[in-house]
Amino acid sequence: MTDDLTRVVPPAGRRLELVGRSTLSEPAELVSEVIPLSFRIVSGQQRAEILITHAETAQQWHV
Amino acid sequence: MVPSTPAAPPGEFDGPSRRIVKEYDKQTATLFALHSRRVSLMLTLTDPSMIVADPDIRDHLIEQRRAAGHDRYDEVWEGTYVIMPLPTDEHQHVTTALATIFQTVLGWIGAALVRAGVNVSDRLEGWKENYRCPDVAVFLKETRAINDGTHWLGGPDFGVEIRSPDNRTYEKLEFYAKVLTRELLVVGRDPWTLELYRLQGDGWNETQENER
Repeated sequence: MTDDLTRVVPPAGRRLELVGRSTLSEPAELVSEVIPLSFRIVSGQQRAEILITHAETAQQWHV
Repeated sequence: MVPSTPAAPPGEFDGPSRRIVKEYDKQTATLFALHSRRVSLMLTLTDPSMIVADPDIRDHLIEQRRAAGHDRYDEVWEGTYVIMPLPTDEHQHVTTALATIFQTVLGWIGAALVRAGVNVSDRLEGWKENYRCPDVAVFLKETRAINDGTHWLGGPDFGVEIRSPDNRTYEKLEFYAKVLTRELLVVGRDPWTLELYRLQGDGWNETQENER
């Protein structure tokens, strides 16, 4: 884009489609194609948590 | 935060507007301010919906929110001012944690810009007439969005929306597709769910000012 471009006009038909859903009962792993992370809902002590896993290092975080 | 049972302080509103708030302050409502300018006002206060047709009241409410710093999460949807509920502590915790993890993973220098709340619009000029504020936005080094300082023209490569009651997350999906957000993670908390949305197809078309 250049500076004189002032609007985003997406090609027709562009839409966000649901590609995955993760719940406590069905904790599917949602793998991003944009950032090297995947996301899953898991049980936690106080509440359900988001488990984030690095695709390359397997490092994990609980949120 | 917009209180669920807003009580107008004495003298805050005059005449009909104060009466309107009183009438609806026990319910959930939507206020639309239709006015002489293009920006209108939608307040989620109570139910049922309510239209405020007085531009002075609209301006007064918006000014109050700005003065109090409550407008940080407000948005404008195609000219309609949308007052969003302020995030809870848990909401902010998730936002901060995700943004920190993303920035750590992607690197703090150069590889990506991670924002915990940022203005995203589909236009450079007049952007305040149409913008959304994703909870977390990741702009990769190769992003096609443009950082204009006040806002980004174009959606993030990866965005996160954390659902709260009344924050109308799903109504934003069309906008995020329009600005070509590549992936959007929607976090639900009652119950806890994750939904990953992906832009189908790809590509930009840009128009110049004189083509509008």
